[in-house]
Amino acid sequence: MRSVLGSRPWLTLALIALVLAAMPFVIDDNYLLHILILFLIFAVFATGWNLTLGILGQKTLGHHAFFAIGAYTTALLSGTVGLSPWLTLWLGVLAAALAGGLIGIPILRIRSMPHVAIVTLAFAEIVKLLLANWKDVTRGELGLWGIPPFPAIEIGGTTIRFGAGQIAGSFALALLAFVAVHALVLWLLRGRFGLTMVAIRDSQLAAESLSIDLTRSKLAAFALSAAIVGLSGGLYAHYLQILTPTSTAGPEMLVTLLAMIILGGVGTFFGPIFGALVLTALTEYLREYGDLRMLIYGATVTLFVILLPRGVAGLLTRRGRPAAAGDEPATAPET
Amino acid sequence: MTEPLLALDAIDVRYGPTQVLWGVTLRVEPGEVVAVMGPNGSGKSTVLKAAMGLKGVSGGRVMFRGEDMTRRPATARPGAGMSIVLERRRLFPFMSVRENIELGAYARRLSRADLARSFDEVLALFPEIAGHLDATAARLSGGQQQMVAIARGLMGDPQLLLMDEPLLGLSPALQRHVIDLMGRINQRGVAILFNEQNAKLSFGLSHRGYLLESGRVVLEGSGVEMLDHPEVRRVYLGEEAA
Repeated sequence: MRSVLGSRPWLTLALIALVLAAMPFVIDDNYLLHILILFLIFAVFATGWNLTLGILGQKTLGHHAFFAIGAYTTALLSGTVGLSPWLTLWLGVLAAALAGGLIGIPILRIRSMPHVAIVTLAFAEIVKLLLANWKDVTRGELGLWGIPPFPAIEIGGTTIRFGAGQIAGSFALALLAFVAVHALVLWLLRGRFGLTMVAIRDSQLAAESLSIDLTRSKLAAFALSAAIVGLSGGLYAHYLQILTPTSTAGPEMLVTLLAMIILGGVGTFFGPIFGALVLTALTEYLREYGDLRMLIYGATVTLFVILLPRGVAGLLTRRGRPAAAGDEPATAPET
Repeated sequence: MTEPLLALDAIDVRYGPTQVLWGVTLRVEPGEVVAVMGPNGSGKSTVLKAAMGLKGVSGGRVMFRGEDMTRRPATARPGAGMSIVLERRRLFPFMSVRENIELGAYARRLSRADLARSFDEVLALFPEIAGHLDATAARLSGGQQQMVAIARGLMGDPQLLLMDEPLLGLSPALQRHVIDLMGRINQRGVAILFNEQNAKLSFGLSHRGYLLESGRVVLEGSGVEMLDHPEVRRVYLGEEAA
């Protein structure tokens, strides 16, 4: 699994967490910390999506739907119904996981990756249209605003507040989620689950011949992946406190997140984290360039893909990867 | 009479509307080496895939150790004592050699200690890959990859090892090495069902053999009988009729 995890992944993750934890103490700029909070949320999103896209090798293009499902479920249940966001966050995760399992069922029957891509893309479009047109509940493209932040908690006499204006608390919460999700995914990938997923990606026939249950493994991966993405959606909703169908389940979200995974290194554990950092920062800093923003953004992504075809993480895992040329492939494409 | 280890009872197999196996009947006794020989497209690989459950049968029965496996999925086979070394090896190219081999024991759910013991036992047969355990599988040569594929198959602790074209694409020296390995695996009491296009190799190696043509068994017998059969000698060994 070195090609996925690199060497010493726990140490690398601990170092990343330590550096991030130090950020609020060394950065005295709330805007910069706000960007870092978004990065933490999107890194969780990208890692969740990468589970099916890169590690399991299913070319799913609709994970922004799970982000929207997680976000809207928790926003509506807390804002409209009045339940605590601490509870509704998990209901959002559950809703996303169920949706992941649900979309996983038809995907299981499809072995052609372009078809998987189309089905999942269509699913996301349906979710977006549903959110945009179910105006009585979601307010459509006018946006669901006034979403309550997570209620404040008190630790050792200190009150920690969350939400859009509460940078310190929001950063701590986003970092906690980031570390917890990445530790969980790393633990799973280092065990039987990780080997199972990569085995399915690299040869379904061989995986099946070894007694790996393709249906169960894929469904579990889909549900877990969707749950993690749903969690990032919930964190996003209660942090920014406003949602629109397009900003959550729209094509820009799809392209941005896909670019994060590809730029960072699809199918690698640390890749999406790097990709999320680079592209979240780039998206924010390019805002002042107006219409030129997407042009510069696109050029940057293209440049990265040309210079680092295996992503930023490819630099870390080079030793573990097969040589690009000259080697006989271990497996021929399955027909 | 004891029950055969594997019995294919008049199986039919289709790929969509095309039928590729027609009433194929075949058996493997415990500890036997059995060859399925035939030209390209005769259905040799399909016989092995059907036995392993990787290809469903549309007629007939697949019996393994007296149990009807016809409708049971491929995932039920390794636990029952059947492993397959797939054609073109089908290693997991981005995993290490060790991970590839260890995955062979997936169905056995061994403890770490038992897995390590089983791994060492299997690896003893493959000294040439012992130095490459941490290398990515795709970095190995074709011959080494074949060793890893066979080692993976043995990690399932099978009573029957199916080997789909195990000699394909190997140099004569490597072919001899794999043949020698097959002998040693068989000496451990593991029955082997393999397929091969070369008649001399197929029947020279096996206790019994089957000749498959256009999806039908046209001849069967002991290895010696098959090699001596006039039809085999004329068509597959290129010898003139006496």
